[in-house]
Amino acid sequence: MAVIVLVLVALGWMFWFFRETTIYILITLLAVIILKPIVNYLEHNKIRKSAAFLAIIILFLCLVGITVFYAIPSISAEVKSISDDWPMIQQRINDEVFQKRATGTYYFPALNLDVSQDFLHSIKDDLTTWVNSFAFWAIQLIIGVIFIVPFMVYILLKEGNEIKKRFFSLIPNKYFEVILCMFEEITISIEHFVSAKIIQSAIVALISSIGFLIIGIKFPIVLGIIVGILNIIPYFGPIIGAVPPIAVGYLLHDFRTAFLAFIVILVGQAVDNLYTTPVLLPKLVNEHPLIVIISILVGAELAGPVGMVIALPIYSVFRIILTHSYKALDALHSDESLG
Amino acid sequence: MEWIYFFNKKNNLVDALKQTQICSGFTKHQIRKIAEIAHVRSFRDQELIFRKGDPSHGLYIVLTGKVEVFLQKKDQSQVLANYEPFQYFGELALLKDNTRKASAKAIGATKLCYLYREDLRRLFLAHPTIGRDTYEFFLGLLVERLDFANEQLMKK
Repeated sequence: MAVIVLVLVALGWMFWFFRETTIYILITLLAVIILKPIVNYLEHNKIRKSAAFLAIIILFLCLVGITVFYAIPSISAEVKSISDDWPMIQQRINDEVFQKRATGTYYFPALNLDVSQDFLHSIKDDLTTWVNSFAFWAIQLIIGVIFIVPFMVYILLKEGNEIKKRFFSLIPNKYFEVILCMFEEITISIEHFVSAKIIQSAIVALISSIGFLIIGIKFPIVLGIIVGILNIIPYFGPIIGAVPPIAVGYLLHDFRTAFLAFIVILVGQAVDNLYTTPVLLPKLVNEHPLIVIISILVGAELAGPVGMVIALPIYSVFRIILTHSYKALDALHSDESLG
Repeated sequence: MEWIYFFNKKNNLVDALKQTQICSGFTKHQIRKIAEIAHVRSFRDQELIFRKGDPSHGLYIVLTGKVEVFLQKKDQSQVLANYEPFQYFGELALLKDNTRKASAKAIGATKLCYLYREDLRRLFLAHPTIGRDTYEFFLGLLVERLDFANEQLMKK
């Protein structure tokens, strides 16, 4: 048992140390999970495997191409206009949220709080550096995705089964069946989790974007996507996701728009919780709420927002490995089953 | 050692599977699909393949060597069956998630082909004819056994 825990910790550290490569591998696996049902469907309909792969790689490249050449410029334009609008936002903060005092400090009437001017400047600096570094990181990632990921996806889709078999041929006979079964369970739980979360966040993003377009708030698409992505995080996600639209609505428009944005988010949550979640429930990872919250907090502490998103699937993988190896060790050491 | 290279070549595994009862009705193309998901495992003399009470997830086909299925009670072991090349055992695992009802060990250096239940299920989804034929084969087998058991009960 201790050996298994040590191996898990070592693996975790390795993936953390080679973060950049891990991100490419994760994106590749994500693409494989999304594309695999399509390959199976094509194969089921008696289309040659090589033709199916070719069609899918072309489809994948087209999707990435559309994203890069259409969506990214418009999204980055929306992001850029945030920094263009910053003086206006600051003006509004000065007028409505914080009141300037004769002594030069700022006063926050709602909370009866004094705020220094440095704090406001630091928010602006943080936002600018964050946007710049994020844009740089995103460009790097997209180049990697275009040149490396399709190649890896193709190999994994075509040779995945062969690679899996090679890996399992290395495992000693004693543990072979247990590890095969464990691997299967992990794959299925991750596949279900990913597909369910993609459907869920896509629906929420769509509803939010349409709602934001209707109420005429600024940056509707970006805000909708943010709400959708943050919705992946259980419990905390919808709350964190509600902050940007409401803040934008209040700071760039007025109280009414902020309230309407809040209503849009409520509608999105209602659809998600009353319709999408019950349908997808068997596919979502069923962990105890307390464990979900703790794993999200740990994930947030280790890797920030990304950590919050991937904390739960990683916890599930560890739980499956540990329960299976515990069962296997139990069977190995119990005397009744000997012989 | 040469057996390892022998069975790692896909065609040889296909030829071996062709001689088993399960695959006897399949075309070469269908058997190649089954060979794609088959794990070839080699066992030393007297090495345990599985033990009574182990969770069972798949079916074994003997490729070379011999397998003895036995039950151990205290110090004496009772041999239930012997399996020669191209025979299969542990087939009930394909139909139900269960535990092994007896233990199995290799007699002499043995090569087995392991078919994992979930892999087979996926294969059956993509190729329904293989699935239908395989399930029909095993259901026929179960009916035969049930008939046999009924007759035994009638005699008593």
